[in-house]
Amino acid sequence: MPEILLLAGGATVAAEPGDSVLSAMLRAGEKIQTVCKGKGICGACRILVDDEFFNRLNPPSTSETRMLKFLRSREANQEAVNHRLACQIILEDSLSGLRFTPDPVLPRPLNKEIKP
Amino acid sequence: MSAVLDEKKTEYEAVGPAFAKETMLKVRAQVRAIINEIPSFCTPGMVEEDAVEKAKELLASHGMVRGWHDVYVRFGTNTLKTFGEASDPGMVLKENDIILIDIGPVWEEWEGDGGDTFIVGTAPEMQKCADAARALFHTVRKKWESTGISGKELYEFAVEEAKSLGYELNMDLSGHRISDFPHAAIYDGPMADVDFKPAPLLWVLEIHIRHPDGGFGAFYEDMLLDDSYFT
Repeated sequence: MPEILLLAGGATVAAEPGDSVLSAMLRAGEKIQTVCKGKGICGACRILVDDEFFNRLNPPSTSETRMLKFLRSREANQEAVNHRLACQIILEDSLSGLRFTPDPVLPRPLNKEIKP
Repeated sequence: MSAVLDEKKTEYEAVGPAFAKETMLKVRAQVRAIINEIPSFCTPGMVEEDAVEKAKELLASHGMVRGWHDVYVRFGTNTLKTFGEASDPGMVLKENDIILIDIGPVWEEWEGDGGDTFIVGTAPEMQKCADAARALFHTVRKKWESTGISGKELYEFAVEEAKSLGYELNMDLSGHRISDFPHAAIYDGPMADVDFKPAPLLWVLEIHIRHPDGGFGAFYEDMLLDDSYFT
C-alpha cells in the first residue's frame, strides 16, 4: 500500500490511506495531544494546515466546525485561520505531502505517552 | 497508610491550577440537569445518531462544546457496549426501550461527568435493570462513605453486589479521576486500580451492569460524594 507522507512541523511521518492525521502521528510517536483519543470532542489535537492543502481537505462536520469556532473564541486573536482537528482528517493518496503544525490548546501538558 | 501509598494518593489526587470545589459542584449540577433533559427529545422511531447530535447541541447551548470524552446516548442492545466502543449504527428507539446516557463535558476549565439510564414506554425488565444500576451506585457509594476501603476493594464489592442482584458488572467502566481539565494530566487510570480510599469530589463512581440475557445494560455515574449531596 503506498505511503502518504505528512510534514508535521519538522518531522516527516508515514501514513496509510484511511489513517487519520492523529492516528498516524501517534503511531509514529510524534508530539500531538489528545484527551478523547480521536473522537473529535476534546479539541486537543488542533493543527494549523498550510494554505496549499487547506482547501483540498474534506469540509469539517458540523461538530468539528462548532469545536474549532469554540476554541478560537477563547483566544485573543480570533481571526479565521486554517485550523482543523487532526483526528477528523482522514488521509487519502491525494493528501500526500500534507503540511501542518500542531497548535495545542490544553491548559497544561499531558505528561505521559498516549497510545493510538 | 504506608508512606508509599500516601505518596501515590498525593500524586493521583493532585489537582490543576484552576480547580475549585464550588465550580466542580456547579458543573456537576449542570451535568445532572442536562442528563435529565436528554430523554425528553428521544422519541420512539428516532435514530441513535440523531439523539447524539441533539445532545451535543444541548450541551453546546450550555457552553459545553468541549468534552473530555465523547457523548453517548445509546438505545436498545447498544446499551451493552463498553466505554468508547462504537455503537451499532442506525439503532432506532423502540416503543418500549432503554436509553443509556454517558456525558463528560468540560465547562470553561472544569470537567463534568455523569450518566443515567431511562426507559421509554413499558419495559419492566429494563426498568428493573436501570433501577438496579442506580441502587448499586448508592450501595457502593455508601460503602465508600462508611468504611476506609480502597478503590480496588470498592469495585470488588461492586462486582459481588451486582452478582447478587443478578447482573454482570462491566469492569471497563470502573471509576476515574475528575478535575479541572484535563484530569488525564494527573492520572487517567481506573479508580478500581487504586490501593487507597479515594477522596470525595475528585473521583467519579461508574456502575455499568448487563442483563444476564444479554439484551441490554444500564449505567449510572456521578461524583463520589457523601449522602448530603444526594438529597
